[in-house]
Amino acid sequence: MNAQTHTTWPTPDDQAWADRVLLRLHLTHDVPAKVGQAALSEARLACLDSGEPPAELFGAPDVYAAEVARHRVPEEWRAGADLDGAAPTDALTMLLLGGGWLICVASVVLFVAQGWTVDLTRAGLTLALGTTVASVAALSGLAVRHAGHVRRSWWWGAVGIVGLAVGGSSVTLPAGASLVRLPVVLVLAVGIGMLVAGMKTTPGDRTVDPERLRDAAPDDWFDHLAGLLRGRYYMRLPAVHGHVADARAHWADSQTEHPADEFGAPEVYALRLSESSTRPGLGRERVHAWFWTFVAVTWGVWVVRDLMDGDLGGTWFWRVPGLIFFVLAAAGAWRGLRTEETTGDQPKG
Amino acid sequence: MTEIDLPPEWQRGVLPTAALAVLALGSAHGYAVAQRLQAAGIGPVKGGALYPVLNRLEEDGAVTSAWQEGDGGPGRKVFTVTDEGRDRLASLRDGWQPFAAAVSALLAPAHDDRGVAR
Repeated sequence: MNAQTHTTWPTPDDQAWADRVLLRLHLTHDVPAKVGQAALSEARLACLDSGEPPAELFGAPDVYAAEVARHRVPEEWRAGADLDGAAPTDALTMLLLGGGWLICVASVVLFVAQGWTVDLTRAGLTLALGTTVASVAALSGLAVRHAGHVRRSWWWGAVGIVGLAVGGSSVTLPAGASLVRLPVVLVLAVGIGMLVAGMKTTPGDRTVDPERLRDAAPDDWFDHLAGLLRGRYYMRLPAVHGHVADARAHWADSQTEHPADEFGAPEVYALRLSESSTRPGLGRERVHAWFWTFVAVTWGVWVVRDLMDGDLGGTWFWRVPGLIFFVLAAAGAWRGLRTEETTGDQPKG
Repeated sequence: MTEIDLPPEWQRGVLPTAALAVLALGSAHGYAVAQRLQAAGIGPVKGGALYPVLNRLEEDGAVTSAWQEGDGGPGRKVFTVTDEGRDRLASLRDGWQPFAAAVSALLAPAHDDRGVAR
């Protein structure tokens, strides 16, 4: 993604401010590029007129990006995406891009380990199958969770654990005879094909229909609201229960026919509740931090144990970089959490 | 009081201040706040607009909340203005009159649509 503005700014600091605004608009808020460029052009004019730098006039870039997203992008459109700017309709794209990236990395590892061709054994096939199932389950689980279907995401979690178990069982299988000899280029081609297909998929319409779930039973409306607050916005359970209880009481008092009469579509109301917080991304950052810490510690224990047993052998070249990657990811996630805790990215009022 | 047909963005802009002012008159749950706002002429305020505002006021420390059990019905969260909220309201009161006067002057019929003084 090109995170540079089309507008020229007078100083490197101002340029960095504008680039950061554009990056946050795209990555965090998924604001269309045209809208972001228009907002920055207007900010540039205001800076020229006033003689003030943008940081003085508009505040921190992350705060300004959040304001632009809130004021220039319709609520119904923003409500169709999660905190990362991805919509449930993007699930296939995420699957193709995530899977393609994993297969490309795997093909590089295979090339370094075994050269141009690789022997596919029963153990290798089991590992590939388990990894595929676990990856598809993880991405699908995340997609349905962000769509507000928390219970369904646990089912995908169970499938993912089965995939991991199948993949893990491959280490107990004897290497055995080669079933087929595969060119590594073919594996790489499959990965690249998935990446290209992912980039070519047309994003679905993410705009939330304001009348959505109006025909559903009131309890289903409240359940979906709870699912969105928990699954999409990572709110803690007491906060979720509090918001839903508030809405139930208000709806009962209002004596309207359906909660949608008072609150509209659950996606839009969940977005408003999330945006009413000074730190809407705090829960997500907390989950990321603990997730990457868990992965780094698990991977680290695996590597250190085999290192001490002298079993690392020829696998060090991907297991050690893997450990470094996960440790850096965990450190970055904790840094993100600290930033979110100390600053938040929403203006007051 | 006569209900005014306010543009939605006016209501959105003034809602945090108006809700704080209503709560300064006495603790209330969300639906009661909505009713008082409507009675004051701010227009019908839907729950979907009101609760995010009340949550924000609570997060900013301007109000606190406590659960009150309902009689046979669902419990209700009752909001109460804090000292910080009263200070904030006093500050808003001080700023409101000059602001309203400035907007009134702009909207006065002495200016026509092209901004030319008659």
